[in-house]
Amino acid sequence: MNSKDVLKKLNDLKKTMPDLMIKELSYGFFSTVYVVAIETVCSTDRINDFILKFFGNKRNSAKKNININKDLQQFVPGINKKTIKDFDNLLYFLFSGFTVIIYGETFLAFETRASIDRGVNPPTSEPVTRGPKDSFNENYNTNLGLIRKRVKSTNLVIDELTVGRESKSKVAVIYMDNICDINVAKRIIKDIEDIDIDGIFDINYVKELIRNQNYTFFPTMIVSEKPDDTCKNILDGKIIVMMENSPEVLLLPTFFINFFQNNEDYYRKPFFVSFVRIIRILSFFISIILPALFLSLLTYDHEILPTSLIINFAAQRNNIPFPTIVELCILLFVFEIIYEGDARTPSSSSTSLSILGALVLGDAAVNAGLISPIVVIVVAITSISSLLSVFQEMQTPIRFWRYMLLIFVLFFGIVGLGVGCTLLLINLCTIESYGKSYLSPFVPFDLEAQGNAVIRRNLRHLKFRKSYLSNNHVRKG
Amino acid sequence: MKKLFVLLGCLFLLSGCFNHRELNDLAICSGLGVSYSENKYTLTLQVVNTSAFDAKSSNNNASFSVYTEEGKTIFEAINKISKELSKEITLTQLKVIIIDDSAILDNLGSLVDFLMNDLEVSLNVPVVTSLKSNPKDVLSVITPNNEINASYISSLIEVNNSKFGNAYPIELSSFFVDYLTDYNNIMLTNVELKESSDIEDNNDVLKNTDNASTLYIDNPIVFNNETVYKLNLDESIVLNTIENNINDNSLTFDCNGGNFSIMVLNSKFGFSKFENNNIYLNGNLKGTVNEYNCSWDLDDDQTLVKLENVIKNSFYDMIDNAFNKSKELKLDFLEIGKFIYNNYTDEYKKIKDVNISLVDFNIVNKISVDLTKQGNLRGDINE
Repeated sequence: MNSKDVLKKLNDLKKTMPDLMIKELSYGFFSTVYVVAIETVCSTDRINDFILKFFGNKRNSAKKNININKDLQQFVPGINKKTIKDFDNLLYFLFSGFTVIIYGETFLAFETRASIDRGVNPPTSEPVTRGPKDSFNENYNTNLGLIRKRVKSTNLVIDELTVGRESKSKVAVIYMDNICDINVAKRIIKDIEDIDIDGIFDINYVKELIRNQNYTFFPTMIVSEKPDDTCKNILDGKIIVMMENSPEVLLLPTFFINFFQNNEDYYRKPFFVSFVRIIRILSFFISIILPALFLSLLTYDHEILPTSLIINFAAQRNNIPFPTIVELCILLFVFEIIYEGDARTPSSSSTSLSILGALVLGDAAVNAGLISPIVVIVVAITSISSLLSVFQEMQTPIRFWRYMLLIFVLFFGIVGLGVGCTLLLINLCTIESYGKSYLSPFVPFDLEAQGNAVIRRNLRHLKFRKSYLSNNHVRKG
Repeated sequence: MKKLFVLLGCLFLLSGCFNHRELNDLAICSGLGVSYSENKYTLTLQVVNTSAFDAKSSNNNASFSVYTEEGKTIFEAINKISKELSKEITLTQLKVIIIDDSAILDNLGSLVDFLMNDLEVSLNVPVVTSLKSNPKDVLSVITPNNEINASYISSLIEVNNSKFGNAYPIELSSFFVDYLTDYNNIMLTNVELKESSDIEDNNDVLKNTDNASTLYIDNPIVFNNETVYKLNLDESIVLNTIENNINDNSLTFDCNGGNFSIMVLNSKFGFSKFENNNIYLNGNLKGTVNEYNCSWDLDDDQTLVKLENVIKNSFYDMIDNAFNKSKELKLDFLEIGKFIYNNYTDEYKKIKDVNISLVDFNIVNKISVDLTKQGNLRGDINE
């Protein structure tokens, strides 16, 4: 790498990169040093205080015996110093907030990264009521630090990869090499290496680009922004994928039951947690099945209902102009609008939106005789049940299967519901997450793992790791 | 893939929705009454007025309407009723079926055929009869709180059966079995009307000021091809005792010039053996004395033994009387034939071949009674 060529290329780049700073300074007798940095990602204070000050010192600039490597090392307090090998490497460090010093044929990079990240804040997508309230942010090193300070082990392996032809984003695969299934880790690394794209800007890009052969709407990867949750999963034998500029990490492999568990579960009494998990699972099925079951009972299979209930339903449907399916679809559609509106509205306005949507619209529609009250109740229970899901990713399969079952029931009644539920079960059984059965530990059944599936036993009794995840160092207690 | 979509499309479009019915397009029938005279069926349908249950509606409609039509067949009668209704008739929510004795004695086969072929009718619907009144009158009675008449009858049977032992609830499935097997007589709960004049006589008028008549459960009725017999209360109690249907019932017995009531806590009765034309009936009854008006000192340990003997002897008498009545009428309302058929099938065939009737049988009873006392009955229990 010739410094003249490099400087020429840099000067060419400056025409299109106004934030590229190339400062020419004299150093020693008749020598010139170039300080190159990108102002927008560097801290100008750091450059001024430690680098430019060094070269501005007359004693240094008049020095006869120059060893820039040694001199700068002594003066500049930053420990992160890199030697640059080629022009691509130089550009990578420049974009990463390093200041490059070119002296003769020596290329040195000192970290002068500006702090352009937000601090460590409480998680937003996974609200916490008990336990640590920190969450990952966009700073890669901070995120690694949040894991490191919790798992102080040399067995914690961080494999760094670069993804994106243009973005050159740093992606890390993190795992415990003595616990996790190494073959799964290798598969994940291979999958990430195989990603061929110009740029990725969030971990969700990786999530989508990693090879996924499952034909399903069920999420096969969990995205988490909680370091405590992440560390718990690392010690369970899971593999974490983290990338710079993303406040979330991927937890792999993922199982169906994981979507009903939460790290907060370990901060509460086991009995209560077991109860809450059962409620979550029930509400998941209620949110999928209830509208279809209601439609089936009201339009096909009246005989299943007790007489008093069917008379009540029939009384409510007096003078309603729409068939039950249309009523249901209208209200479900209105709920979708309210849900999306609520999600995209600042929290200050969302309360009024909910009140307007839920109370005013629902009540007005019933009073106007457009919708029967029981349909409002059914859609409300369905919608609230779907919101109980800990992870937002579950919303997609819930909605897809809710409408699928509705279609089945619309044509075939309770038989359609049975067929739809069977298809749902078949779909769940066919899913694999990195070679592991999605329905583990239920299918295949693992008795030992039941202690921390739906039911959570006391931590003192949870002496073994989940064997369906990894068979290494199974004993933990 | 294209073929799969075509297949699915055909499946959905050609076979879907065939039995789709909106709830507000249905005439929900809660009661069905059938009688038969002059080669014609008279069909009564009780249809729920759903608008009476609408919380928003302020009208005070009756909770049901009653439609009656005659027809040579049941379908013809139903079709005639359908013409009067703007909605499709559904029998899925039937709460009671009332079959007149005329329909049972004269032409039960067609009715059973109709009920068996109609897949909508639940097999759990109670089947009752009304000896004195016709089904239309029974189904037309306006009940207290404007409750649906058929639901009211259904609850009435349940309460009478669980507390007083005078009802004999038969569901449609058992009714079919009774009809289709030759070892059973058809036995039905009897629902009767108490006319307003009767109500006034009994000073019960305050119970129901609006209605001209009220409903009550009379003792069960037993049928064979020619005979209709209404059981008396004792026979009804014996029948329910053998069926183990008297738990929680209150029974009253005479004692030493007074009387006492017991609450049956648990009763286990059943025929145990059939040998040399003798039917062996074993049973144990556990109860508690809950009302006591006898002169014997209840504090005395022997008194409970005496009371147990009183009950035992009463049961022996009641069973003997019932059995003798059964023999006299040649009506097997104690269901002895069913026991022999189920447990001694070969013997049953022989009996049938030689045409031995109930008259040749004897009943051998072995009953034990365990009584307890509770509370401070007559103030003479100090512990």
